[in-house]
Amino acid sequence: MRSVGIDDLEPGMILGADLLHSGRMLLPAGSVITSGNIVFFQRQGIGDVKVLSSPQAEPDEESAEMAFRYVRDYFMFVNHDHPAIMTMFDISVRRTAVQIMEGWKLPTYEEQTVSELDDMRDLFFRDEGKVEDVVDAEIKIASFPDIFFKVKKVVDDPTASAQEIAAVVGLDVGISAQLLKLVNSPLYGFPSKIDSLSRAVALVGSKELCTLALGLSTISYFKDIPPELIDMRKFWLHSLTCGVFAKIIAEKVDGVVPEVMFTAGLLHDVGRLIIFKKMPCSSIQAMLYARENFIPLVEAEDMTLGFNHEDVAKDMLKKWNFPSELTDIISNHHSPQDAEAKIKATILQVADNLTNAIEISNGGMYVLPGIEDGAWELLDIDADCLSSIVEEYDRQIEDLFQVFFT
Amino acid sequence: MAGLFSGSGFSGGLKISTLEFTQLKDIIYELSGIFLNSNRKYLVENRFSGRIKELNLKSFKEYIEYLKYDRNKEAELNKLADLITTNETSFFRDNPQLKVFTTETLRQMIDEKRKSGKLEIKIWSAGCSSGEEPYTLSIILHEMLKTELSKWRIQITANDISTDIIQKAKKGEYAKYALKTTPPLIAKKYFTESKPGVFQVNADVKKLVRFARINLNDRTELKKIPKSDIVFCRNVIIYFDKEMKKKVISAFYDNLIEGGHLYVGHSESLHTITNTFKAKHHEGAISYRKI
Ligand SMILES: C[S@@+](CC[C@H](N)C(=O)[O-])C[C@H]1O[C@@H](n2cnc3c(N)ncnc32)[C@H](O)[C@@H]1O
Ligand SMILES: [Fe+2]
Ligand SMILES: [Fe+2]
Repeated sequence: MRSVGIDDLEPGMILGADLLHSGRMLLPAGSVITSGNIVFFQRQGIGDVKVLSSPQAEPDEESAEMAFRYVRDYFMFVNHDHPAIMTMFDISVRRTAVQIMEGWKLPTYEEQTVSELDDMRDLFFRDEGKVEDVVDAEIKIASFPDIFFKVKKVVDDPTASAQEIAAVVGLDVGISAQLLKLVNSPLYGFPSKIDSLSRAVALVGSKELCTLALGLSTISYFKDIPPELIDMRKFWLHSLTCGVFAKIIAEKVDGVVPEVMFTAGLLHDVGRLIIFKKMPCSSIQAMLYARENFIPLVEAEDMTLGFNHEDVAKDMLKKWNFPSELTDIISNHHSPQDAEAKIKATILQVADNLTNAIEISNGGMYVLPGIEDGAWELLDIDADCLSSIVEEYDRQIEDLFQVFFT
Repeated sequence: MAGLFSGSGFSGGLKISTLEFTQLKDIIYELSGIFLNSNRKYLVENRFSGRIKELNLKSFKEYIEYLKYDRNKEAELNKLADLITTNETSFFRDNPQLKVFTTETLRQMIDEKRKSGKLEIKIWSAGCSSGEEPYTLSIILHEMLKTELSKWRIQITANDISTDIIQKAKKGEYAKYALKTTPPLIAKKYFTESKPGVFQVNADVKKLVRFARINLNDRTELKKIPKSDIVFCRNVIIYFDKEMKKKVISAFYDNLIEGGHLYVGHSESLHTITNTFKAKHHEGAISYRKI
């Protein structure tokens, strides 16, 4: 993150910290700054603004040294000799160094710990309930957005035409608009503008479009999680980043049809949200435990809850009747060798680790969860390509973030 | 861009073989009851490399031999626990639980003791880390008994496996961070800012607490702990395997007087460990009682 004077501010930059003015929130962190915003800030007399730094800069030696020491802690849990991990380490050190050079003050341990919750209660105490109880308690209070099942039905019908599918998706105006923005984003990279859902179905494919609709409706399902528990923008940025990586990596792996990978990334940690809603105190314990012991969250969940967000996702997605492939890879994104679709689950695991690696330079708090022994080799790709994947991501993320968060 | 930073020390650490990991893991388990899952291999590698170099040893193999045969092995075994567990703690950690303890356990106990005229309470804080937990209990007693306290015999026994951390606890000096979950009024009343940013716990609070280095895996040492009315062992058994959990909990059972109380951490339970305690559910915490 760096400070930019108002005169140097340009549209497209991403706000690095909440912009407050005399106690009033003008724009939340993560917003993409528009020219309208800039005029408004000028009028408000804002001097300078914190924005996320551009990843192309070259770090100096001192910053690199500091970054190296800082980033090392986040790679405590993982195999240093793993080719993909080594590349991720390099990427992370470089990004962190650039941030430091641009004035980022490394957060101290104290600044990063989660605080306790005084007035929330878990569904049950340790060992007094099971994963299924957590999921059932969630399902009882709310049903999953109807749109998805309608879409699923037409998609499963082999005689349905692109028009018919488009008509059903179009029933949800919000989601249709988001879908169109998404398929017009650089992530899909179509040369000309797609201006109707039926064209989107024809170009992107009905399965992919339907899966995307599912992903988008899942995000809206979780919009009411209390902000003191978890920063939802950060959570979805993590998810979105993982989705982008999963899609780009999948495109490079031979013999994998990359459709569903973006949505898989988008939803990979959805189990955590259910845990947040139903077991808030234990979630906090898990986060603390992970931080204190240099272990990944998924492992800390096992220790503090007796189950983890993979287990929850598995049960939840089954009960929600999600497509089985999506359920399979999401429920095994930390243990891809247990998945039916091992390669896709591995792609998701690599994408998640890469996401964690680039989050370190934005104040991410958790160690890399690691790649299962023997998994990476299944992909048969060169670790070096992770760097170019991150560059590709950097070019896309601003636009994509806008699709989801405006 | 690749290769710019790799090799400059990141992978310069020492490697542990699967066999060595198993040996080290067994040594640690035998010593402390702390169980290391096999996926902690790299974590162990990363956390121990520095220590091994500090000792001027060259490999995990040499380190394991050192732990087994060197004449300094006792001292090193002490260090082991520091490398594998965290000492993370704070004053008034898990406030909802402490509220339950105060209103549901302590208040009744004090009333009963007042009636019987036996003004004596013994508490054991097992796995006390740098002292925040036993001092918190002392503060809670001060708050409850106020001026009456001088008439009471209160003894808080506090132990940890780590020698260094016990030294720190005895000193009673803390950074502001240790007070992050402490109500400001309490912080003001029971701490003195001796140097900027250093908070010294007051002598009255210290007086009730007696620290000693004790390994919970050492049955004979545990037998020497005075019989307790209350045992606190929070965020410690989470590091143990089931067998060790059972051992430790049964030691607490033996140590507690009839009807004595046990408090474990938020993420810990006796559910699958024992049924010799009666669990009582409260808002935000469970308390256990010896039956
Ligand atoms: C996370 S701290 C908990 C401190 C405090 N009870 C609390 O809840 O805040 C865990 C402590 O248990 C200690 N410990 C681990 N194994 C032990 C053993 N076998 N005997 C005694 N103490 C042990 C560690 O040294 C560490 O200080
Ligand atoms: Fe995950
Ligand atoms: Fe994740």
